[in-house]
Amino acid sequence: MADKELSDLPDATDLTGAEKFHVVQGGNSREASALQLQKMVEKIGSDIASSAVLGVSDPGSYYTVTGTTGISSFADVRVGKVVTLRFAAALNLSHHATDLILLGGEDITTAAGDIGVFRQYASGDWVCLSYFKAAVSPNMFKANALRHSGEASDRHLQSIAAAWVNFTGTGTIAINDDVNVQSLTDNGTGDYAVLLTNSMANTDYAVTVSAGTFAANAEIESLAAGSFETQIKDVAQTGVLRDAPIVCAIVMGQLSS
Amino acid sequence: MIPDFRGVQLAQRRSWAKANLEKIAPKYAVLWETPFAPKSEPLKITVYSPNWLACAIAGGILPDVQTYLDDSRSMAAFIKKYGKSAPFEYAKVGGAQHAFADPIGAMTEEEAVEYIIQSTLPEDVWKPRHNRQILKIVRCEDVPQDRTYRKLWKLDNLEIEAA
Repeated sequence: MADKELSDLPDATDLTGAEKFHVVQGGNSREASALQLQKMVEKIGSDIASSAVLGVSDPGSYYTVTGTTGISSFADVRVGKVVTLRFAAALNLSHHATDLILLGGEDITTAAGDIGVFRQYASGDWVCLSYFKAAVSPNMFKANALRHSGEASDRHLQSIAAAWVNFTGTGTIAINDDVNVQSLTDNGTGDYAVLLTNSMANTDYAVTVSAGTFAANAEIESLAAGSFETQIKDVAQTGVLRDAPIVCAIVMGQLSS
Repeated sequence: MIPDFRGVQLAQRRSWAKANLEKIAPKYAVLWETPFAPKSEPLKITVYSPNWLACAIAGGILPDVQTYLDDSRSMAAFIKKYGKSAPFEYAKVGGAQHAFADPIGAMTEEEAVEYIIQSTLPEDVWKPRHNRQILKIVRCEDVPQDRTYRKLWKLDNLEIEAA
């Protein structure tokens, strides 16, 4: 080994963690293993109390953020630094165009157990690489629009039903299946009111009602943010109200929040 | 196991439940009349969704019923201030309380019926005392199947046992 340049040495094979390195610690030579270096890189840092400028630091790549104080930027550590943060409570992460770029350009209200991954991309400037809501399964997602691979432009997600229901309107009325419908009220012959679980944002939404098994005219009698009323009329009997064996309704529009 | 749905929109919780919980057929129906309605107005029958009932029984999904009452009061106050013709928007009254409220625990079906009554029926049906019965919870199978005289149905002329 003596008198050889580093470039003269053969390439190492994959490290196992047991290999040794020479380090200087406190002015003294010490021996460290590759595994120790890995542990330093992956170190779980001490909990950080939330503050307007979050005090992330080196070393460490995973921190739990405690408290509920809003965060608008992270401390300047070094460009390239990546941290994973687990939030212990609800607080507001404020989007900023340079200091703290959040996904979608929107603030994030954290919840206990949420996890975010952030990278420092410039001096004192951080970007959120990903964010996982603890309460939401990976099978669920949030988006404003969708685009089919063959389409040139997005379709707004409001073009997906906010609610739908299929119910029996004769005998004892009964909801056969639904999405986001809470209850159904039989107001009298051919007259039904549907209550939504999650209300619509306003009364400007659209409802389509169809009924069978006769030539029926389904009219919208009223639209409220949380419910709508429909009347089923028999076309053959010049608009006489009539119970329908099957009534279907689809609600499109913006849900309340 | 129900996920921690705190902070998740109610419609999204219901979507999760739709995919993960089995529907439960409701046992009860609520018969009720509007106080001071014209004599010609028949009683109303309210039933609830099997998917919704699955959420109520499972717990951890639905908001406190009080949030619906608070929203109803906000809406009523808006209409009182601006008139019935003014277009209502939840954004104008600070948002819908029920949409993101923390979920409550599991209910029995009997408790779920109470929830339905409070969230669906007008408050003046179930809250004040009336000098005649205007609300009755019955078993679904006891509601008459023959609706020939549906227009004439009243609580005092339908002989159905309360559940």
